Amino acid sequence: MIVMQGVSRWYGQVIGVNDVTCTLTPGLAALLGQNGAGKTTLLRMITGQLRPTTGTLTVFGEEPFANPNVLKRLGYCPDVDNFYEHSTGRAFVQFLAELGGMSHSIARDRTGQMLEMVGMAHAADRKIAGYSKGMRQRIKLAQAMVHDPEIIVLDEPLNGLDPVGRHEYIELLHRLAGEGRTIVVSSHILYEVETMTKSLLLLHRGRLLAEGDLRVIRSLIDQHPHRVRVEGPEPRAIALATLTLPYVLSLDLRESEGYVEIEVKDPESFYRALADMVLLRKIELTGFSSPDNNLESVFRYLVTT
Amino acid sequence: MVRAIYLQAVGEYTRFRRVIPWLLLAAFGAFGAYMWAAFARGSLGIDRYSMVSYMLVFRIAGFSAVFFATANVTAEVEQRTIVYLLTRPVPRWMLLTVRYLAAVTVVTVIGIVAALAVSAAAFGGNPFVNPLLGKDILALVLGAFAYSGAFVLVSVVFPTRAMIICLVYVFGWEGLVPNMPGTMYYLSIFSHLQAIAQHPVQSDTNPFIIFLASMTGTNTLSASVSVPVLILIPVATVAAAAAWFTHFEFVPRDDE
Repeated sequence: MIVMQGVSRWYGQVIGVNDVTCTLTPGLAALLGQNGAGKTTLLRMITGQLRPTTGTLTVFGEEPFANPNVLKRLGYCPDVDNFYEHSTGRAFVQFLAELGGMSHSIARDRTGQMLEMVGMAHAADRKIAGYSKGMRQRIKLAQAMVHDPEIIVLDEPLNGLDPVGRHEYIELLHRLAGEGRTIVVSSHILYEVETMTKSLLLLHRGRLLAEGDLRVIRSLIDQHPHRVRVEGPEPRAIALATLTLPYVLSLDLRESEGYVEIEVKDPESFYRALADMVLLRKIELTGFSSPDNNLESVFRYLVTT
Repeated sequence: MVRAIYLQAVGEYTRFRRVIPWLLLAAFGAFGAYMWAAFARGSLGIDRYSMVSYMLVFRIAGFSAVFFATANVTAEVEQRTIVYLLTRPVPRWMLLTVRYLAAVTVVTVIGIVAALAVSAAAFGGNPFVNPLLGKDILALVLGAFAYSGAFVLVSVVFPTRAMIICLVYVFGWEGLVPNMPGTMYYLSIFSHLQAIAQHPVQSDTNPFIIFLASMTGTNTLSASVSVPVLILIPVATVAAAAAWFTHFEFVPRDDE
């Protein structure tokens, strides 16, 4: 459906997207990358706002730039939080529905359905200027779906949503993906993406670092040394108990701070051993965490491999 | 689709806060004509209208076209709402042209309201006894098309500097060139509007007023030349703007 072949995009001397090759098929896929990674640039190329400087990008077999044939079948929820502020949510969505080629009456009915679906029916006749961030995100989703597109592209759609709102939003995305649509969501928060989908594209400084199942990417990461911080009332005892484990590479004992930081080469096995340590050797733990279990670390691992 | 684009654009352009300055300017023109009548009791309505309309009404047409025609693209880029328009299955040329027509409608209405207000003040209450009104309305309609077309082209070619370029044109070029000797006035839309309106000049009118009305030059243009010119200008400029808008990218660059 969306095919990218060696796609690069330059802004003068600055590269936004660098030689990206991938294919996106129906289902929910997440584009994960830090701020400035090139996510928005890539999405703007998919949605026909920008042209690739080099390479080819096709959507439904056609170049998307200013192409009504593609845009008819594609919905876009931009990252920008800008609207016609004096307009009501209903008028805004209905206007964009009519621009999608619907007649006035069909657009009105369809707008009503979409506002109901995104939970905005109760506030649809209020001015957008008075909406909360979460309401604005929902209105953006409604306008992206209103013309019943086969592909929906969402740029950082969960920004500003409360936990309940996020849950509902993700449920809705799953439902849309389940209907056979292609949903592409960008985010810079690993945890957020993990709750959404297992299908990932990892972008870093414009390059596609990895593509595929999140579990596969995680296992790639787990092949490399991983830091685990284990906290307890007796950090020295924890250090002694873990020292003999074969996958422990080094230890940093911080007795006064109440923890030991352990570098391990097989985190999965280490976590199992940690459980045995607690149950069989009765070593008391108050908590454990991995400083490496965040997006920056994921990229660091992937960049150095 | 065309109806939705047109109505949305007209609605956007005619928001109270956008329209009120133009209505105040029209009222100011009417006030000027009224004061002229009050202080120069022997003056004729046609002279009062003739001068005030060149000084204000025709300027309002150009000036308002700057704001409404550049709103077509420049304002959408600046407020970043252009992203919603460009990701819809609407040909870009159609989007630009329909929004241009919406701008022309608003500029025309503002111009006609200003002309009627000044005419009413100059002719003691009834604007329709003014023998110049018909030609003026024709000139204002053609002027709205021409100014808006030229400014739409500027707004797509220089989206971030369109407003300043157009203001310099209206205030500088259009104010000075019709007063200059020679034939440079051929390149002034205002001179072509004057050629259609054909307002008379009284020999005893203050030279400074004549200068402000851009009537010190030697405008020999006739309506038979200026009407086709004012039809050609919007056709050429809007076609060029539509081609440019279709070919080039119009997304504000950010850090990603």
